[in-house]
Amino acid sequence: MAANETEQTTGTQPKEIVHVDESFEPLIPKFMTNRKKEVATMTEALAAQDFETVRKVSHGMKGAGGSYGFDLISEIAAVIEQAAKTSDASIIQEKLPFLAAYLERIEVVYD
Amino acid sequence: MNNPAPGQPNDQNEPASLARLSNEPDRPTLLLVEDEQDTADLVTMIMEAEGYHVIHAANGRFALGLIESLPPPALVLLDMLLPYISGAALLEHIRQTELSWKDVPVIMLTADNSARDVRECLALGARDYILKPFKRDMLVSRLRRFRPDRADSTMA
Repeated sequence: MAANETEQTTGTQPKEIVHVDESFEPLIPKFMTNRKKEVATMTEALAAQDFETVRKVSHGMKGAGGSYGFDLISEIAAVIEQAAKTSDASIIQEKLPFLAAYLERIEVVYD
Repeated sequence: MNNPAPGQPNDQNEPASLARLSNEPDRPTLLLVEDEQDTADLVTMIMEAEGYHVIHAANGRFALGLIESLPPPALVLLDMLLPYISGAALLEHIRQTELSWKDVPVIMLTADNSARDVRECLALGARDYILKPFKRDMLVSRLRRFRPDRADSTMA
């Protein structure tokens, strides 16, 4: 995994190693799928200026992310939630692609 | 939007939960009221490993139905922000009910570190509160205090 991580730094973005409690492993595929769906949901909602949906979805993501061990997901979701409360589209527009790219780069290590 | 959770019909656990309640008399029951499905799944897994039988309600209305129809559980974990009926309103209902539920320890779950909300819930009779995101060890050790049949249930 470490070698893979180094190789990935050339050309594409590096992998993001996240350490997760091994007993959580059965829940992780669904967790990741749901987070990616939520990014799509928020992207659509933002396009429709539906800040209430963005706020609700990011609020849930904030609570779930770090509980599974993905602290950065919670941190980004908290920023999006705050921006949604003040209808600040520019911050959300900036954070959603960052979150999407981060989710794609995650490599989970169970321990 | 959060209710029902994607792919999780609200009523799917209703008959199963009631059936299982009577089938597992040795396991203390925990009512988990949480609308975020992945958080609910995680808490359920952790608390089942702790020996509880977990009943999950994904919104305030479903939770109210359980409160009014089920025997009191050993513990209630109650999210503050819920569809239809808030956690604070459910807590108030539990505390004022004539049913035996009124003495059940209720622990609030919240993703907002709002002093006002926490103060309100403690004033309404919540025994503790847990911030989300949480860490497994923190959740387990804080809730172990409320496990009635454990030798270390008095430990903080």
